[in-house]
Parts: sequence; structure tokens; C-alpha cells
Amino acid sequence: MKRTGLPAPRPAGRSDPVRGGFLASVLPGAVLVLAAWQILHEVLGTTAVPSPAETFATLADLARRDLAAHLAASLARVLAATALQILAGTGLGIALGASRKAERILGSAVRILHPVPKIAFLPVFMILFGIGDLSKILFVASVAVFQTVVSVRDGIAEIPGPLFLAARSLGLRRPGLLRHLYLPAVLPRVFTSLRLGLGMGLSALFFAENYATRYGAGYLIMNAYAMADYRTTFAGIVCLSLLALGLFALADRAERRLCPWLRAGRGA
Amino acid sequence: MIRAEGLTVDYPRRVPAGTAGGASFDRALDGLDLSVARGASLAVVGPSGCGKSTLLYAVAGLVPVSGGRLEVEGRPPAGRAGTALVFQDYGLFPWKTARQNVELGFRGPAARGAAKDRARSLLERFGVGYAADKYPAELSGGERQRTAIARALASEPDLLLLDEPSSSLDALAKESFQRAVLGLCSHSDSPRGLTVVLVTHDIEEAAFLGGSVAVMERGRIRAVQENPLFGDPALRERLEYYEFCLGVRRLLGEEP
Repeated sequence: MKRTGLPAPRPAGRSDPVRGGFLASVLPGAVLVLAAWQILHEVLGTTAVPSPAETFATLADLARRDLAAHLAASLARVLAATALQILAGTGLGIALGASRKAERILGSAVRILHPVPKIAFLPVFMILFGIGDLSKILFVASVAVFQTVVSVRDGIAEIPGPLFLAARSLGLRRPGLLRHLYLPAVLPRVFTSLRLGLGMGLSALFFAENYATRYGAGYLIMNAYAMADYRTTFAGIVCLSLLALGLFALADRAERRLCPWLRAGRGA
Repeated sequence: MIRAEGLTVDYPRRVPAGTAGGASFDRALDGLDLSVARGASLAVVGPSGCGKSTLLYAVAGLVPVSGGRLEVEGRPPAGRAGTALVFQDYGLFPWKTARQNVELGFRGPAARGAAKDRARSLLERFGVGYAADKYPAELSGGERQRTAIARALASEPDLLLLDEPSSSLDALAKESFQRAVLGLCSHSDSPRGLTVVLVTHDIEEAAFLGGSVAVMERGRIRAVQENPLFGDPALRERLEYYEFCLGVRRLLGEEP
């Protein structure tokens, strides 16, 4: 076989943006953001925008004090809310996608509630579920859950018809259908919704942590802002961003582990 | 094995909302009569849209019967464990490896015990043991088709239904696939005797794999031709084979 002039065949698998590790993949973006930040600091010349160097010095200082407690509080809330988002969102999404009855009864409710700005309901959550962690977790989950419901419902609708016939001809009943057809079919959608929901969820968390708590990245940021301590404000923002980056990396890893077929056969 | 009398299958037609609904269905099978003996191998040929696939789905119990009678081993076909269907586009689950797809075919808890090894040996029997841990996206059309057959046979069926089994295979893969299926049709190793029904638009395939060839047209069987040549793997080297094909072609009314 003559192969001259052809490039060496690429190994099969999705062209992987994360090759070389997660840190390497975010490095160019990080450099860009830091450069823009430094320029903004120079141009504006106000204490409201501290330089990256000042911010990271403050961050290092915070790390020696109570930063870990703030981060742990935020992380625990976000993880609990995400778990709720996945469980409730996937369950409801599959019900809506797989059952015409569920879609008829609940589908319109989801369509009505999806665009409502859930942020406005924080006071209601606090009245119903107290001012502690429970109301914050439920609040964040309620903001993010719609991403999962809608993605999963659409994912069910996109399962090719022949696969349903194949499942039926293999004698799969309800538990088997769920395990072998519905869940794996929507799993990639769950991860996509996780990424989308994380951005919205962290915004909601930031908002919720301004009330009735003394711990959390949101509290750290707004408390420092109220005291005109802009370095700590920015350190908190950096902290929240790093938290989000870490969670994104975690979601990527989990997806690669749980959805190996997505990377199979690409580029083949 | 299979007995159909006046079999009619209608598909509901999607009518725009608000339209006055009359008879809003498409008749896919229209009073079809058919009888297939146990252990026989029947090839059904016909133009696209003649109802071939619907016939297969009805026998598999996947579409409801609208009229007439249809029985498999004296009973309605729905939910029958001994029937296995291989789909035109293979129907493999993309999130399962070839081996995991085959494992889905096993029925009953006893069969699932040594599922891994049994699935592998089934794949080996169809010459794709090397691909056991690959996902369908990594397999060629021929490998997918062999995996789909292995999955169908995992349930140890006594009735195997094949829907356009080689329509998307290239010429070489098609011939080797057909030889593998012929091995199943002619000297079946199932103790009860494997009955095979395949539908195809490929006359040569029908003549190669069918102990009898049924010609279908507009939802009915128009003629059934016994195939005296059936069972010879070297059939393609015999002139009678092409004469038989020509005979079927004439029945189809598309004489060259």
C-alpha cells in the first residue's frame, strides 16, 4: 500500500482538548485573563481594581487564615445542590421524555417555571426552609435543575426509534429499559447540563451566601466589598473561579470515565 | 411455525391537528397469507414500501395486528421469548461494547452467570471475537452485523428474523456474511431447529439464503417459489442459480 505524502494516522479517539492535563488546557486562557486584568488595573488606576499580584498576595494571606473554611462551606453547598440537581433533574427529565402522561401533566409546568428568575425566590426559600444551609442548597439546586430536566427530556426524544424496537425485541422491561437504554442515552446530556448548571448555580450561591451566614466565598466577597477591602473582594472572586474550574475538571474526568463510548470511533 | 391468514397491519397516519379525521391510517399489510414450517428458511423479496419490514415486525410482535390472524407456534407473537430479530441498521446500543451488546441477548438468570465468556464465544463463532471490547462506533458495517447476529442468537431462539441483513455491506463483506447466515439456515445447531425469515430487496441474496422465496407486493405475498438449489455454499458458481434469480425477477415484474 502506498502511503507517501499522507500524514501519520492519528490515534483513534476524540481530539482531546484536555490532553497534557487540565492545567495545561487552561493555561493560555489564564495568561490572557491575567494580562487583561493587569492592563485594566494600570489604565483605571483605582483601588477598586487591585492588580493580580496584590490580589494573589492577599489570597496567600487569606489562605493562612479562614479561607479554607469559606471554601469548604461553599463547596459543600454546591456539591449537595449538584447532587440534587442530577438526581431530581434526571428523574424528572426521563419521566417527561418517556411518559406521555407525565409530559402532559408536568411538561407545561416545567415550561412555565424554566424562564422564571428563580433568584427572586430566595426569600421564599428562606421562609420555607429556614435561613440555614438547607434553604441555600435547595435554592441553588432549583436554579440549576432546569438545565438537567430540559437536556435529559430532549435526550430521550433523540434516542433513535430502532433502539426502542431493539430493546423491546430483546425483551427489556421497565427496569431494563431504564438501565440499558434511558440512563446511558442521557448520561452525556447530564454532564452537559452539569456544566451549564454550575455557572448558574455558582451565581445563585454567591447571592444566597450574602444572607444569614458567616462562611462561604459569597460572604467573603460581599463582606470585604462592604468594608471597601477590594483586595479581599478580588481574592474571593479568584477563589470562586478556581472552585468552578476545579468542579469543571471533575465533571470532565467523570464524563470520560462514565461515557467511554463518546470517545470511541471518533476520527476513525 | 408461522401462520398468517388475512393479516392486516395499519399504521396511524399523522394528521394535522384540527383536520376532520376520516380513515387516517396507512395500510402496510393488506390481507396477507403466509405459512412457514418449523426449521424452514424463507426469503421475502419485494420493492421498498411493499410491507416487508412490517411483516417481520409483526411476526416479532413489535407492531400490533389490525386484522386477520397471526400466530407463531400457535400463539400471538407479542412477547415471545424464542423470537430474535436482527434490524436493518443492527440496533446495537452505542454505549455498550460488542460483548455487552451480546450479553443483553441472554435470557434468564442462569444464562447470565457466565455471560461474559458465552458472549465472547458467540462473537468468536461469527469471526468477530477480536472486536469484543470495541464500541459499535469503532466497528465496520460487517463487524456490526455479525455482532447483531451474535446478540440475536444469544437468546437461543428457534425463530430468527433478519431485516435487510446485508443492505449496507460492501460486496466482500456481504458474501462472507451470507455464508455465515447460510450455515445457520441449512444445518442449524439448535436442537429444536432454527426457522429463519429474512426480508431483502436483493434477489440474489434471497436465492442464496431462502429455502423458498416469497415475492411481496403492496402488502401481500404474490407468489412463493421453492428453491431447489438452497444450501449449497458454492451456489454462485452454478448457472441454475442465475436462472432461479431470473425467475424471481420475472415474478417481481422487473424483467431486465
